[in-house]
Amino acid sequence: MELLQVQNIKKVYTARLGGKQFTALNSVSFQVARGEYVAIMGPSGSGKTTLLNIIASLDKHTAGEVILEGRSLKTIKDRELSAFRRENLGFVFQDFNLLDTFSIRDNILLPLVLSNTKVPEMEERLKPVAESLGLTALLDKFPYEVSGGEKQRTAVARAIITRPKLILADEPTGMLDSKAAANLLRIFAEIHLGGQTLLLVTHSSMAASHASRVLFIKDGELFSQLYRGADTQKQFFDRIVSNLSVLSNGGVDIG
Amino acid sequence: MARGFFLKLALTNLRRNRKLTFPYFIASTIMVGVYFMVMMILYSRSIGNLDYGKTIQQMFGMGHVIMTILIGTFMVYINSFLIKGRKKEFGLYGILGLEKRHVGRVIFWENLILSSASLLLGILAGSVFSKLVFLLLLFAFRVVAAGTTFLLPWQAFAFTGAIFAGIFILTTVINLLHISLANPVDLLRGKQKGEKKVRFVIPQTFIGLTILAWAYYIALRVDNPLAAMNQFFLAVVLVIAATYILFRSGSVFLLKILRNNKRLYYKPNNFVAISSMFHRMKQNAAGLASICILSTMVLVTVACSASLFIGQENILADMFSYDVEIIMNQEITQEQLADLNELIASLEKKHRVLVEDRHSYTFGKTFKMLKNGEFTTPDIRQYQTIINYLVDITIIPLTDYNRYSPNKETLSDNEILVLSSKESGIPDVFNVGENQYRTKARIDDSIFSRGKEVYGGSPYIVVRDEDAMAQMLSDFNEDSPLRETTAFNLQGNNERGLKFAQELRQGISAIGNVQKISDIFTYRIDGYGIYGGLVFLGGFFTILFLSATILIIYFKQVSEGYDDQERFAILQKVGMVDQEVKRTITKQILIVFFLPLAVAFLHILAASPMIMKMLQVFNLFNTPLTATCIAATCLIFALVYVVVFRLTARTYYGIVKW
Repeated sequence: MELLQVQNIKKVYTARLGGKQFTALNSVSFQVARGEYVAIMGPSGSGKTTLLNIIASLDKHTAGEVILEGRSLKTIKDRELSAFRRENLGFVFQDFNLLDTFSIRDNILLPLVLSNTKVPEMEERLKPVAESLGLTALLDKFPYEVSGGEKQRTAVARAIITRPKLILADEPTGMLDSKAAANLLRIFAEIHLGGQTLLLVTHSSMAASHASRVLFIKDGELFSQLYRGADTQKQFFDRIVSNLSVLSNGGVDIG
Repeated sequence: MARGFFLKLALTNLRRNRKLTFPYFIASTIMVGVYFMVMMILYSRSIGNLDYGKTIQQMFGMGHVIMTILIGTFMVYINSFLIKGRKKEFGLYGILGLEKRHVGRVIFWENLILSSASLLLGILAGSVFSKLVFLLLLFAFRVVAAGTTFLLPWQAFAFTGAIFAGIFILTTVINLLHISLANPVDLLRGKQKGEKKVRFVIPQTFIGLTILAWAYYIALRVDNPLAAMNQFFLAVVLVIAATYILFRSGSVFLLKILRNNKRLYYKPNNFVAISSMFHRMKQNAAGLASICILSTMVLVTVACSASLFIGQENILADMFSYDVEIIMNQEITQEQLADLNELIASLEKKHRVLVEDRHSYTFGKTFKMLKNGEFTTPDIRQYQTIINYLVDITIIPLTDYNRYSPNKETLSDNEILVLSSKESGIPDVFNVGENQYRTKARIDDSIFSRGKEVYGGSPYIVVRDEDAMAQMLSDFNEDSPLRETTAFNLQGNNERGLKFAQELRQGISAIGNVQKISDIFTYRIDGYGIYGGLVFLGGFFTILFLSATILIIYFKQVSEGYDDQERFAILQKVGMVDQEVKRTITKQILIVFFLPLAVAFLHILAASPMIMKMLQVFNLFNTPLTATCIAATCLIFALVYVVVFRLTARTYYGIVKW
C-alpha cells in the first residue's frame, strides 16, 4: 500500500470581505510510496507550499482526501493534530524554525520531550543522529551561534529523531549558500538511502535532481511528473531544467 | 525633499506605532503634569503665604531635586523601548534610499510632536489639577480658605518647559546616535543579535546574596531610631545593588541548576518553561529589577507617609501627656496663681471648653542615660545609641503626690516612689552622687505619669520633700531650679482649644512669673503642615513611581508578545498542543511579572523594623499602626499591580493571538 495518498485535493481561499475567491489548488492527486523521495517543483504562487501545509495538517483543504497510512487526515480531531504531527511527520523549513531559547541539543530533542520520552532513550537516539549530521560538537551551542547550514542540519536532526513516517521539507536549501545546500542535499540522499520517505518542496532544480521523482505544479494543478529511473543526478538535472522551460513557456524560473 | 514629507512620515509612524507611542505619550504627560504641580507648589506665593506653606515648600525643594533626576532617567529609559523595537524599520528606510540624516529628521519630528504634545497637555492638566492640589493642601492644613486667591506662578511654566525641553534634546540625541552608529544591515538584523552572555554567574550570585544579606542584617538589627535614619540610605543602596545583581545572575544560576537536572528538565512542561524563562530572565533582568525597586519605593513612600499622617494623634499624644501645660517659677505668688486660675476659668467659659484632669505640682527635671541600672550624663559622641537609654526624669515631692492619690504614702530619707506606666529601668537600689536611694514602691498608674500614650511615658520620682528634691537634683548634677506646673486636658474641638491656648498665652504675659505654655492644639496645626506636606510629597512620588512601574510593565509585555508570537508558531509546528503552549506561556508571563512584586514584598518585610524605628524619630511609637499601614499599602499595591497586569495582558494576547 502507498504511504501517502493525495486525492483530488482542492484549496480555495476566500477573502474575508467581499467573498472573492482564489483557488490555490485544484484537484491535485498523487501517491507517495514507502521509501520514496519525491520533489515538488513549480513557479512562485503555484501552490507548492499550500500543498505541503495541507499534507502537514498545518492547513485545511477545502475538498478531497489526504490519507497517511490508510488514515484520512480529516478524521483526526483538532486536539489530536499536534500529537499526530509529532508522531508521524518530520519537518524541515526554509527559515529553520529553531527556537532561540534552546540549545542545539534541546532543539533536536524537542519533539521527543513533547512525547514524554525517557532521558536515557533520548540520549541514545540523539547520539547517532548528531553524529551522522556532524552536530556532535555543536550540541551545547545556541542557534544564533551557529551557521545557516548548521541550523538547517539541526532542523533535519529534529525531524528525523522521532523516526517519522514522512519527512516534509519546504524549500530547505532556500536560505543556504551553495556549499551548505549541496551538503544538505547529500544528507537528504543518505537519509533516503536509509529507507526514509521524503517529500521535498523546492524551487531549485539542483535540489529536485536528488529525488527519485519530481512532480511539477502550475497554477494549482499537477502539470507533469518525471521519474529519475536509471539517470545519473546530472542527467536528471538536465531533464528537470528542460521540463521547467516547457512548464513556464519560456520564462524559466529555476530559483 | 519637502519638509512636509518628513512631518507626514513622522505622523504616520506615530499613528502606526500607537501601541507604543500612546502609552509613552500618556506617561510623559503624567510626568509633565506631576513636575508642573511640584514646581507650582514650590513657587506658589499663595501656598507660601499659608501658615505652614513655607515648611511644605522647603520639603518640596528637597524632593524636587530627586524627582528631576528620576523623571530624567525614566524618560530616557522608556524612550529606549520606543527606539529598540523599530530598528528594523530604520534599516528598511536606509535600504529604500533614505539617508541617515533624513531618517534623523523623521525621528526628530516624531520626538518633537510627542514631546510638545505631552508638554502642552501635561501643563494644561497640571494647571487644572493645581487648583485641586491647592484646595487639598488647605484641607490638609485644616485651613479655612476664605478669600485666598490662587495664582499659577510663572516659574512653574518656565522650569517645566526647560526641564522637558532638556529631556527632549537628550532623547533626540540618543535616538540619532542609535541610527548614525549602525549601518542598514545591522539595523535590519538588530533584533536577532544573540543574547548577552551572563558571565561569572556563581561569583555574582554569591556577591548579590552577600550584599542582600548585609542589607537585611542592617535593617533587622537596627535597634534605635537615629541609627535607622543613618543607615537607611546605606541599606537602600545595598538593596538596589543586590536586586540588580540577583535578578541578573541569581535567576540564571537557579535556572542553570534546574536545567542541569535532566529528569526534571526533559519533561514537556518544564522543558519549554525553563528554557524560555532562561531567555526571558537574561533579556529582562534589568527591567524586572527596576520594576522591583520602583515598587519597593512606592510601598515605602506610601507606607511611611500614611503612617505619619494617620499616626499624627499618636505622635501628639506621645509629645503631650496633657493638652495644656503651664510652667511657672517657684517664686509665683498666691495672687498671681489666683489670677491664672481666674484666667483659665474665664477662657473655659468663653470658648466653651471643659478643663479636666487638672493637677499642679512642684517639679525638678533631669535628662540622664540609664544603662544597666546606672545613671550617667549623656555623651553626645554616642548620639546613635543615646536615644535607647535616655530618660527624662521628673522629680516631685510627696505632698503633691499624696494630694492626687487615693493611697497616702510616707517616705523616709533617701526613699523614693517610681511612677511610670511602663518598665522604667530604675533599679531598686541605686547610687547617685553621694547618696544611695531605695525604691520603696513602683506605681504604674498615677495622674502624673498616666498621659495619653501607652507607648511612651517618662518616669516620675517621688521624694519626701522639697529639700530631698534639691538634694537629688544636685546628686544628678542638675543646677536648674525647682519649678511649678499645672497641667490639664481640654474637652472641646481643636479650633476652640487653639483659641483657648492663644488667648491663654496672651493673658499670661500680664500675670508674671509664668515661664511658658505648651499646648497640643498649636502643635497639632504644625503637625498638619509637616505631615500633610509629607503626605503630599509622598503622593507625588507615588504617582511618579507608579506610572513608571506601569509603563515598564506594559512595554515589557508588548515586546515579549512580539517575541512569543514567533516562538508559539514554531512550537505548534513541531507538535506542541495549542492549549499546552498557551498554558506554559501564560505561566511564564505570570512568574516574570509577579516575581518583582514578590521580591518587593520581601524587601518591605525586611525593611519594616527599620521603617518603624525611623518613624520613632518623628515620635510615632505606634508600631501596630505602622505595621497596619505597611500591610494595607502592600495589599492595595498588589491589587493595582494585578489590575495593571490584566489590562496590559490583554494587549499581549492581542499580539500573540492564538
